[in-house]
Amino acid sequence: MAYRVRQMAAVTLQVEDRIGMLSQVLHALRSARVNMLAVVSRRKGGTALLGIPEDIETARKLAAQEGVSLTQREVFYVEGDDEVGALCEITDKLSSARINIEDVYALATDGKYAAIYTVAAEDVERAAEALDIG
Amino acid sequence: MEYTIRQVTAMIMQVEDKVGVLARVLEVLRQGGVDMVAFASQRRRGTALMAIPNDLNTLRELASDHGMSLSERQVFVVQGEDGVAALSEIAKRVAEAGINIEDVAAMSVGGTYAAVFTFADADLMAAAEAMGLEWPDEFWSSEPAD
Repeated sequence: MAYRVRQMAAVTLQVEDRIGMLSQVLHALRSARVNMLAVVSRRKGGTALLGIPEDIETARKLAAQEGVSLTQREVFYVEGDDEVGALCEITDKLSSARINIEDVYALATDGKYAAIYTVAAEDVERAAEALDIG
Repeated sequence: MEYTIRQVTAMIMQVEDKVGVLARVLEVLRQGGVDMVAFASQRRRGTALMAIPNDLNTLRELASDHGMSLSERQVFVVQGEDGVAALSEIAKRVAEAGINIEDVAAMSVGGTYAAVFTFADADLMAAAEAMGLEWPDEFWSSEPAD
């Protein structure tokens, strides 16, 4: 099963849970030409956004200009050929290392897939080792 | 900017929040030959799994065989180019229709972009309309009661 895993810096921010908020954030990113490998938005006591910018410095500068407070966390970004069971190997490796996965988001299109795995901050180093990228 | 939007059925399952549960579920799906457009797992008071299979019936039968309890919901899958631009255009159209987006997961996939948008059941028809889709007759039961 061909895939590549990278440990990447993601940015997270909490925004107000209201109509148009996500649109506002995305337009700011678009106007500043911040390219995102991934964007995840969840409504959970407000709205939590997680993004993986291609260039984290540009994202940080934009946040500073807009007066937005960003936090940074490490995530694992997987890209590979899409086939049945594509997520099993990565998930098995983390499970075998007794690491509880926080969240997974995976999407497939045109024979390829990408996925984001998040784990607790204290598990990031062990997860990287389990995924052979430590 | 070119992209397509499809309304699809997602299957939702709640599982125990413990190490190895996700691996076991994915192994069952692999052995059952379930090919997926999207998959998400979120820890929220237990772990909520969402799978969008290419073939709903395969997953329904597999769930039945394994005694898994699934619920279904309608979501929207976007595929296309130029990720942030497409996402911001869709988010703007939905916001202009006065609809709050529940969750979005979007990512670059092999040079193209894919995303899943979810909305509250009560907003599905309006969201479909805002995104330029027709709401199929078979899902009229999802229309909110006045």
